[in-house]
Amino acid sequence: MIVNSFDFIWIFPLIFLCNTAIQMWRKGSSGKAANLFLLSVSYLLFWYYNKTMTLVLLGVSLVTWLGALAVRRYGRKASLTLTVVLLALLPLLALKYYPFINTNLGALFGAEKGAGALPGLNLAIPLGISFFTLQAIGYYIDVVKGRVEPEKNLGDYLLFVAFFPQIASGPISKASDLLPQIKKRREFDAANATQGLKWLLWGMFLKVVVADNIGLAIRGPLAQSHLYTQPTLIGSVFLYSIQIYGDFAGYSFMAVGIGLLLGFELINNFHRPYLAASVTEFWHRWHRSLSIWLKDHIYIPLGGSRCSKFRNSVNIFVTFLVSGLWHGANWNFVLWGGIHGTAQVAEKRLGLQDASGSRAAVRAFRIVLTYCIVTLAWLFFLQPTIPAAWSTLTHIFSPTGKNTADLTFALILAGVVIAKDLIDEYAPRFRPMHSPYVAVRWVSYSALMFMIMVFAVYGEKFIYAGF
Amino acid sequence: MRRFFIKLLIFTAIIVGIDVGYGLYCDHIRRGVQSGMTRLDYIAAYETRADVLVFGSSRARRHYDTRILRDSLGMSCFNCGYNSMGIGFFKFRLKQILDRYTPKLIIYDITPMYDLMVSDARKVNNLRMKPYFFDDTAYAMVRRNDFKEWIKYHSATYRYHDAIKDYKADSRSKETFYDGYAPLNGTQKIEVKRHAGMTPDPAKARLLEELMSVCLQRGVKLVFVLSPYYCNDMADPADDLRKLSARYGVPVIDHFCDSRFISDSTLYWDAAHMNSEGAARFTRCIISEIKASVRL
Repeated sequence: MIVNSFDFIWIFPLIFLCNTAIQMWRKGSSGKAANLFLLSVSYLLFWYYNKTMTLVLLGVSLVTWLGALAVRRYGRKASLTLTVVLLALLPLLALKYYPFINTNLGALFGAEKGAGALPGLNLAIPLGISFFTLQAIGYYIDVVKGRVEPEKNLGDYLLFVAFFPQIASGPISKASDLLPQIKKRREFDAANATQGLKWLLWGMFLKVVVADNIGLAIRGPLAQSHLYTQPTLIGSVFLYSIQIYGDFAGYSFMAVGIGLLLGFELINNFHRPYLAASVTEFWHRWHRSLSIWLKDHIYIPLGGSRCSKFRNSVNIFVTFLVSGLWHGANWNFVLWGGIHGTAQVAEKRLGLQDASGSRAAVRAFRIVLTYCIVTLAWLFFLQPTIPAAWSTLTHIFSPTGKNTADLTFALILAGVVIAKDLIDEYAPRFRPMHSPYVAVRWVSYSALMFMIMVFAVYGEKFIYAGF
Repeated sequence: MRRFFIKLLIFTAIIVGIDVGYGLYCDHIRRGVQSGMTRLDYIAAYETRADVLVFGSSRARRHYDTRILRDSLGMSCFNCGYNSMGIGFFKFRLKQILDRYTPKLIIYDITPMYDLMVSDARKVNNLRMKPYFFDDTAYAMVRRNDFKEWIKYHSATYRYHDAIKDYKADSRSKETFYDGYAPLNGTQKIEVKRHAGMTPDPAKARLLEELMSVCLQRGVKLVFVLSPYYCNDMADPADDLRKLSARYGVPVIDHFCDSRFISDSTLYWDAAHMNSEGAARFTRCIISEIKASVRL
């Protein structure tokens, strides 16, 4: 169930009411009934989306669950770890990376352009496979490293992997964060539920109003950059950074909101990322759950910072190449990751990764510079190939077109998002949705809801759901 | 918990109120638009009392010169042609008109994709019925076409979702109309579209029969016209249409593959629409056939 669909509007209230009713009805119990309900709902929703892929989800969950129990029984054996990780990764490799690997092997062995060395698999990438695979593998590695105890209850573990608010596009939860919440008895909390509704509302606005309207406005200029003027292209690239933020953060905030409504505190993936004063800081604010996962399971095992400077630079760079590859099975994503890795290595070596002590003017300059680097790097994320991204970049600096596009509405929406983030960062007591005055809060809720109803774009997919 | 749910109910009531208010505002805007398709749609729905009406898609709007029809037939004429609309919409439009008065003649320009063949026309038809959603006929038709959409249409903000942009664009429109007829001047680059592989839609056939039945009952003369496309690659649907209309005595005037029109690019603005010169020639061409076929 995609959260910006019509089905969500009537299905989720039912889920919420049933979950709350179960919590009330089984007030003295351990919460097993509520967990069973949420597990059933999560699997039913995924089954409704794709029956075959539900088996993939179940398979990955079972492999990692059994693997973790095997660690307890047989100890931390390298052969066991390798087997479990490879088995858990197999669907992801087959469904997402096989064409990429195959095409590149073909190029290596002199096959025709685009043809692979091996037979092709014509399979669609299932929703959320990159997310739930990482979550399951993360749990298993945490067990191997002794950070968490193996989960004996299969139902609780299945719910941990398949929990429906986060399965499509994250956040990627750590076992130490989510499993204890699953295991404890949850009671309805009005304050959390209210906060959850606020996250849901803002997230929905970011996605269906901001991201999708911007997407419609800039589609033409970014698809045919050779036809458009420089101001239009610059505006479109700037707006793309807001679109991807609105799209991904919007979903993430909705997931957090739904989690709170159901009694769970999921990690908030986004913390005003475009106000970062360095690329390093950007990754502490953007897709935080992925950053944490990469740090715990790639960067630190490679040696982290407990090694020579050169080795540390390599570790950072490799981690971000992996991040790029996780985002997409294509060389442009790898290059995108490489740009971020290079920027962070440079910051680390020059001592620029932390700007917290800088003067306001310097910090402001660094925020703008970081934003420019990140936004230009997004071109390699947006376009399907490196030459296409390079072509767009070239046309920005050497425009060839005369067409313009009406970006007025999109720019207004971007302004709303920027204003909100600035208020949240620098003047939080002026946040309308958290105002001490009831009227201000209710007017802001109503205004957001009205804008969603009037300006929402229906039917657009989540960009990150493609991962 | 009780306070939470009470607040939620109050918020829901506020949103419902905003929704209803927005619907009233949009309806007010729609009624105030004095140009463009919004105005023409309003005239067709609520105002016109012309003796002769033209139904059909944008091809009807562009191909039938109401001035020539009026002068030649000696009757008032209004062109109700509506972009991308077909039988799903015009059955509803006929009902709206018959609630007010009984026209003498309806000239229905048949566009195969919208009136005879399987296509996405139902969704588009639903779009144009949105302002009239609470009319019994429209209500029932939308429900029959798409139940989920029918549920969503109860929300005014959903119904008028993109409409405000259209209303504002139409209020600035400088397009010239002659009782609904909208001439296209000149020729733009004609790209011939291929229409292979269309299959007859039984649901549309049923709607056509219902339309013919209503016209017969109310004493409205009806004639189907197949106007030409440029470089037509579609099979002529005249025979199938005649089989359908024979039971109701509705004549079919067929110029679908008329060589006088289909190969002369100077008569077309694009492959599907004739320009003003083509429309004038075509309208004059069919006048005598209309008079003879419906005995005017």
